[in-house]
Amino acid sequence: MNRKEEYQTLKEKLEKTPPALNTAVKRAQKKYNQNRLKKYFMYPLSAAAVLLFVFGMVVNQLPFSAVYAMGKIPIVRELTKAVAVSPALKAAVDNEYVQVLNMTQQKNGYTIKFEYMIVDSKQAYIFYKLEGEKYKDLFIEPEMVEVKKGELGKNYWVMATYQYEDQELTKEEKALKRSGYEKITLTLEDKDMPKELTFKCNIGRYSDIKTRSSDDRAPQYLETITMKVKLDDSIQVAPKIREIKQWVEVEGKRVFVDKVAVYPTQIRVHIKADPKSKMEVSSFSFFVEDDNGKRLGGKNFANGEESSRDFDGAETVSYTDENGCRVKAIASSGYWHDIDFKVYITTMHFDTRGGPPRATIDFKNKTAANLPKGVTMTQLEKNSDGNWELKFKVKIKGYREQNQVLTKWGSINEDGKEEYEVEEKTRWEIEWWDNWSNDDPKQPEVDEIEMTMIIKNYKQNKIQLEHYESFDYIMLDDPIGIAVKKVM
Amino acid sequence: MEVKEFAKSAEKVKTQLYKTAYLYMGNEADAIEMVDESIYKGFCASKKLRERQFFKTWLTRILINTCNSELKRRKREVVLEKLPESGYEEFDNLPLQEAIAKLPEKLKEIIILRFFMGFTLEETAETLKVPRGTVTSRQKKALEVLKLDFLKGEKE
Repeated sequence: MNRKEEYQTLKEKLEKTPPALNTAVKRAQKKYNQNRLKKYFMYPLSAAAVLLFVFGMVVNQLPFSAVYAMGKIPIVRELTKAVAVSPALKAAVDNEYVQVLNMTQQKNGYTIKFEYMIVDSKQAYIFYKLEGEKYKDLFIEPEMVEVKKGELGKNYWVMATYQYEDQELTKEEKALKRSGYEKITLTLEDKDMPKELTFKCNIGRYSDIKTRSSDDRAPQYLETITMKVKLDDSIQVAPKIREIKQWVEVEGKRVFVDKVAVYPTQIRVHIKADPKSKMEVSSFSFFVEDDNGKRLGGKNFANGEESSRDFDGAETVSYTDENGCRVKAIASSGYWHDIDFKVYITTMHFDTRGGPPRATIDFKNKTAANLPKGVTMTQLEKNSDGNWELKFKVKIKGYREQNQVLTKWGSINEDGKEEYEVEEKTRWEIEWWDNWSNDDPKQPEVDEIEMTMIIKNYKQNKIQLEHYESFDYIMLDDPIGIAVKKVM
Repeated sequence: MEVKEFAKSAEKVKTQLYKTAYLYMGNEADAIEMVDESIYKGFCASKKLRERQFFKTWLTRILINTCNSELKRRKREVVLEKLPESGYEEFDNLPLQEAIAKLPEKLKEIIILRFFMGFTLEETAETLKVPRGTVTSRQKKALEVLKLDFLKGEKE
């Protein structure tokens, strides 16, 4: 066998992928979810817009501290240590915005003590201690139990801090370790905090996790203890709403900044694209500064500021409100915001409104509708394996565009519900072979390429193909500043 | 990049990742392990990926680093630090897969990305964080060592 034959044989060999590859992403995601248990244990629930709580404007008229303060409480030095590197929480503790819990539950040699809680209508932080008679390397994987179905909204996150021995500790983890506390964070997106929270605390051992492989085995818990927490009535306050109602232009796209909601521990900004536009805002990032340029929260991602593992639960918030605005949040203290300040938008992510466009392939009538521009279907038949084989001609200019066209074909949906895997083969590289060994290969002038798709084990008459990637991500070197005036 | 979006994007490139991992590790089981680990690392770092157009090159870089780390950990890496100065006969007698595995790292990664993953010169340069000209010259050298210059006349 010569090298050419060897090359072809090796390429064919690599085409035969093992079944285990089919579930590789799911395994990795499972492991990721398990290992972030500690910090960001996430319940993947589908996002949907639900009506937000109607905010009472009257609250804006009240003195800030009078609304938020929970009253004089004895704060132990350990709690002060625990929040030392979390500015927003430190401000809450400094202002005695803390609910004392002093709850203890014991079960089969395990003891959980919920001691303090910092909570507003969207986020709760529980400071707790966990002890075991037999083991010391214990952690909690928390779950929420809803008393009324849906009371926590369609999207929420509950996570506990995690101090895995092989992992370098973040500043926050170090501070917690020094204090002797651990922390559970519960973040709600669209609902307000109910009067009572029920935490199902699954207790596990770090050493068990260490040996836990990345397969699909469910985590083995040593014990589960349920903790019910009643919220202090005084925290059921609405955020302070700063109405903005201002249009700004982001690289030629009009964006409407609706409002800024200030909570004791976080800030939420509500933004939407021009309703006449084909694009919608799917995400954005921002930071907040006072008039003197002092940072009050958030990161300037466009300026290279990285998000650390110390990020707050608020940073996971991303949903659509009742006005069609995208809502994002940062950790910041409401105690700093009874002043004029500025929100700086640093990145903006637009998606095609209603999701990426789709082409429909009709196997029965052998037709293709709504194909991307420059793409035509040249073949639609079953191959010798009984799988559908589709061929397309794609008009392109040069290889750079060529590659982008090819990646526009991704997942397949049937009636927009179930996803199917598609094998995609291209022959474009043949066009390059003349240039492979040149010192300075020139871009080949290729007008058209052929793309092949294999659809396996598909029984329906029609299938939908997504035009992969139709988005616009804008990183603003010069952030857009929006003045947020104090409500008098 | 959001987790859900990351998972969807990873689904699209997992086959390419597997091919690369197989060429690095030499067997199916290790290749799957490396793919799993790389995608897991990708999930962990996905928030740092702010420009989605670099997803494929970024995750491929993670995979290559993961494979190299694992090979070093197992002390199984037998690649040459640099090419012998006189002739490449020892590559001639090896099956292509073994010859690729034995290439110096800088040539091996070019061969895998360009001719097995189908990366463009720009994508290869972006993945490896080297200038395009460097990719071209390394590619030429690697093809010469592997005696793959026959591909030059493929269309003829």
